[in-house]
Amino acid sequence: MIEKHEMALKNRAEEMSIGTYEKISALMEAKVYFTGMKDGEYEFESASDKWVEIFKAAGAPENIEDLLTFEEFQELVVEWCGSKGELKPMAEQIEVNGKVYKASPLWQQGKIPYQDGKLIEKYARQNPKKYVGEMMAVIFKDEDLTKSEHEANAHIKHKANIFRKELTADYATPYLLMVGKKILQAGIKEAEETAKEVEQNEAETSN
Amino acid sequence: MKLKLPTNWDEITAGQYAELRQVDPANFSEHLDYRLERLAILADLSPEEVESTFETYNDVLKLTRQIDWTLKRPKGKFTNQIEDFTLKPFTALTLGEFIDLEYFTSDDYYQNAGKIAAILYRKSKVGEWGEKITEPYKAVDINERSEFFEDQPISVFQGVIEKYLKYRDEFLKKWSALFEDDNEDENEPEETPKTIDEHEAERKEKAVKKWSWEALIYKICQGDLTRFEAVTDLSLIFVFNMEAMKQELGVKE
Repeated sequence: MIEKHEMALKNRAEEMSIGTYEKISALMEAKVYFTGMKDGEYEFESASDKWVEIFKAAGAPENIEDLLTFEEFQELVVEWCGSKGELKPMAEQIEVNGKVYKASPLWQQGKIPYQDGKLIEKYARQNPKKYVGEMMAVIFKDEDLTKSEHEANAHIKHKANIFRKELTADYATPYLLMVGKKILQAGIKEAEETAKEVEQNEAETSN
Repeated sequence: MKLKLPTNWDEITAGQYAELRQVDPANFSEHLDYRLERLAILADLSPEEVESTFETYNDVLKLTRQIDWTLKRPKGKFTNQIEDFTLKPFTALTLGEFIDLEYFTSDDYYQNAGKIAAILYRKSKVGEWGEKITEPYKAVDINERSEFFEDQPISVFQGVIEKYLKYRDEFLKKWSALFEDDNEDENEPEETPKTIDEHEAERKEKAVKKWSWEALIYKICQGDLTRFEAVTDLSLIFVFNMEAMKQELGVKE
């Protein structure tokens, strides 16, 4: 937490909810206008605009621009980015609103269970900017439910929204690291390469 | 259960290859289902049976990488002899065989690879005088025979289809004049108001082009459909030579 200029800015995973984390992550990836870009290719006219929105998501007041000089603003950006938190070990279970949810032991072995991976890939592809809630909902299961009840889209979405509000992002970050590498990079990238290969093959056959 | 997957084209049948080619990633909402479908075809199992062998997500990626090579086309190999069947020289094709091959090669020909092979590979024997006699085309049940070829490795005859298509393109290029409209005026402007008669003539011309093979046979039969079979049994080269001669000499029907 950065407490300065009458503001308290969350900047570590353990300080923010999963919902806030998703919002900030999406803002961090948003494109800033650069010469030559067309409408629709960027979300922000300037880097300052982008960082104002990030700080608001992190807890800054609406009138943050009135509270700081430009130099103070720049220093705040550097300080916010420079903070390093510790990666929490993967939780084997979590308790939310009095209910216990458990993850498959395969995760602790560094492996992604097939059914979990399948569902996470689906939600990540559906909404690459907002899937951490769903990811956690897939990983942490209510053991009173059957497999099909757990995998039902409505159940996953409902649980995801609860986790977004009630869980801090430090529970998600160790899982995100593994998912990012094994599913997003390996799985989705492979899907894009396959699609290109198939397209090329079709072109060769029709020639 | 460990999945048994092919490691080269000799281990994939023509039928499996045709199925693989029909699997389009664009038709799957989940890429994982696309991967499952391809694995299922190659392992000769249902997607559910394949899925039941996975413990981790990485199992899918590992197996998918193992079959990545099947995204490419098989190399153009073929043999002249497949069990009792010998490759018929293209120059010996009859008109009927050629017309059927035109039909089966008109779209994604791998879907009809078995039928194409059934036409090109036939049984043969040595005649009384030492001459080679090929099984008559009308004696072949194409659907039944194609099942045999669909069970053969695609590598055994895939190359012959490509070779045939090259031969076919060169052949038609050589005889393209037979399919051109003699009355076509190249200088006629494209956009001129048409009378009802001109519309009718254009409609008939399109109909003739649509039915060009049937029109050719009808012409050779001189309208006598009882001669249809005999005409389709004629050598393709002979038929085209005769038609070209008639056209050049201005022989009227």
